[in-house]
Amino acid sequence: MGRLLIEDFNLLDGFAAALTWENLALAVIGCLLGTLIGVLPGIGPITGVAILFPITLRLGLPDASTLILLASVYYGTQYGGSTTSILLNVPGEASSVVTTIDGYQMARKGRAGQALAIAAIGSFIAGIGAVIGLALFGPPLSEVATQFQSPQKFMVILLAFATVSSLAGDNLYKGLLAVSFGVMLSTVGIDLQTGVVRYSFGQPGLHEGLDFVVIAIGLFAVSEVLTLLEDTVKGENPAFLKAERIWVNFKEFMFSLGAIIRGAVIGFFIGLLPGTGASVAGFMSYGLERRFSDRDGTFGKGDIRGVAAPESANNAAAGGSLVPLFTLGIPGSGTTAVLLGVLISMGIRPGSGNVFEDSPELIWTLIASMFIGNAILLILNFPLVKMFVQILRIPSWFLMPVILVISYIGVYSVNNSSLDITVMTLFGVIGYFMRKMGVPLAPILMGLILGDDLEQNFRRTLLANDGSYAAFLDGWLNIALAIGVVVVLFLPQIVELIRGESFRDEFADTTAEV
Amino acid sequence: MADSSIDPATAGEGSAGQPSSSSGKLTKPSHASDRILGIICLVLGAWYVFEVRTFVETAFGSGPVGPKTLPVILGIFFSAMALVLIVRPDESPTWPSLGIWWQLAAVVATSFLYGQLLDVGGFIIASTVLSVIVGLFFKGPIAKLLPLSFVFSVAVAFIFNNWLTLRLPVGWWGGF
Repeated sequence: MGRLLIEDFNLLDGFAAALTWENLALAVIGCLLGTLIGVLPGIGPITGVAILFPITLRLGLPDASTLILLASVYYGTQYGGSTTSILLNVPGEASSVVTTIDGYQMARKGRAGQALAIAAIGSFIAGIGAVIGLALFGPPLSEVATQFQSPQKFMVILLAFATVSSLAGDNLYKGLLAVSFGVMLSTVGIDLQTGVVRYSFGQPGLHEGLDFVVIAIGLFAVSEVLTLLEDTVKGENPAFLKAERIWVNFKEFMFSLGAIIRGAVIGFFIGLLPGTGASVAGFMSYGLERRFSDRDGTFGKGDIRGVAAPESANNAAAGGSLVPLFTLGIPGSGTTAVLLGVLISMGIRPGSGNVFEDSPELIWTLIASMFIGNAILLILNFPLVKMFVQILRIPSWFLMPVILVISYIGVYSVNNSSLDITVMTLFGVIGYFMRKMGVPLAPILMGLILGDDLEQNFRRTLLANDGSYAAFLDGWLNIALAIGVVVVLFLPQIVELIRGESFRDEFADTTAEV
Repeated sequence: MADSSIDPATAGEGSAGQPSSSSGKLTKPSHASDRILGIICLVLGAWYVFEVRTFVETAFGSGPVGPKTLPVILGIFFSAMALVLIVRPDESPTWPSLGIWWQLAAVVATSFLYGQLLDVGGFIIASTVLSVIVGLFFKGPIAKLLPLSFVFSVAVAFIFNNWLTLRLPVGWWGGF
């Protein structure tokens, strides 16, 4: 920290910029919207950010303010998602799936208040820790990343694809199918290098390619509405538990502190890996925490540490995954993939330049606003959780049309084109079938957003080396990255060999979103 | 419109027709779903590879790698993954019953129609119609749905057009 504050005034400048009335108000609005989105079934962080982005773009806000709003939404959803996990046994989003195990058990024993409180406190501590990590690791890593040439960039993207395919669902081949489908989608439109029109079916509307916002909202929001419709018709309705007073005493806090810190550290480092996001961190830290501290067999029966660890981990991972995003331009999750799309459309291309040097105001304002956002969320959460939970009492016959209409507005505002609504619906149908069949959706989004980058670096490498494919394995770094790809793809088998038990079981439910 | 776009359109329809083939519930676990998906993806992948022949090369020299190289590799990889799916399919999921299928289809159709209705009737009409139809499928009471949907649509149009400077097409309702 010392180095940052003395040599580099940027973080302080960032605080000054983030603390203007306008930005502070946007952070509060973003946190509220994010918590709301996190609580609501049907819209998760990916949809939330994807819908709000084109809308905020129309507001004509400065780029930093737009990013503050969207980042606050992202953070807010992490907080909100835990609420429904605990009170309803229904995770608001994928990263809170594992919280349902002990969180819901605590709620059933009348300790919902403690569960909610420790989730909020753990998230706060981990969130702040992750942002400090981002501020410390971001600039030097960015320095390293700018040394990367096309072959390395190509391999790093492959590594991200491998990670997301291997961890997003429980069938590796379906993950790889999804990620390559995403890259295929990215080739639609005019090839910028040669002007050749590809896969456009003679539709001028497709010449500019498929917009990630349209695809993201279709795949995630529309398909979720269809899935929920199926459940409604079947008459599946979860039972509702109440929280009386949201608080933990000092003893319980100290009891959970170890789990919080372990969760935060594990989460942050998992977030650092390109292609792995908050949900993987939640599962991993829960598994490890149980191994570490479950001496009396209390885990799974309402152990407060079983809530503290994953909730801290998923927040830390959300912060940690911003490191590869800002330094390499590699998103760690579906939501950060959308954030990358946002940055690219602002003309900021992390990975090809050093964003900490090229756009310091923007980055440091954003980082400062994350400190502030975490504080806002902690303050808001205690008094407002009960209010947010009331939102779940809104009947789905009103909520679902509202979600759809807001999705349409988000999609329509991208190009003012009704063709986009058709494309969105189409991808909603595709998303529904993929969900049912266990094909993960996040890799599609990653493939779509990184596909262009992959192809450019692929072609540049071959052009510079007279078409020799050996160039991809030239040098120790490339070989290390290639080994990384192989290790990641066969990680489950490797872990099974070491631990002698199935690794996939712990990841069984992460298919929905990453 | 985009109905002609990308074969996954058929991915939807193809699998939609499938409950009839795998509706023998409670019998042996079926693997038909993944096989059908695999076949669809195989066709899509093959089409994707052969489509490069239609690319019209421009005057720009493309060197050793042009706009065709990556799509060819990608299409082959995608097809290979589709083959794995056919050879090693997972168990089929529980598909909804016929009664649910038509409701899902109706919501999808309404969603497709929304785009057209938006151009013709404007945001308020399109959104009210959509909200009522979708709300009915979620078992909403029509007496409450009609007024609520209308008020909601008007409110959203007002907020976006006046406060958020996002011009939604209001159609012949005129501007607020």
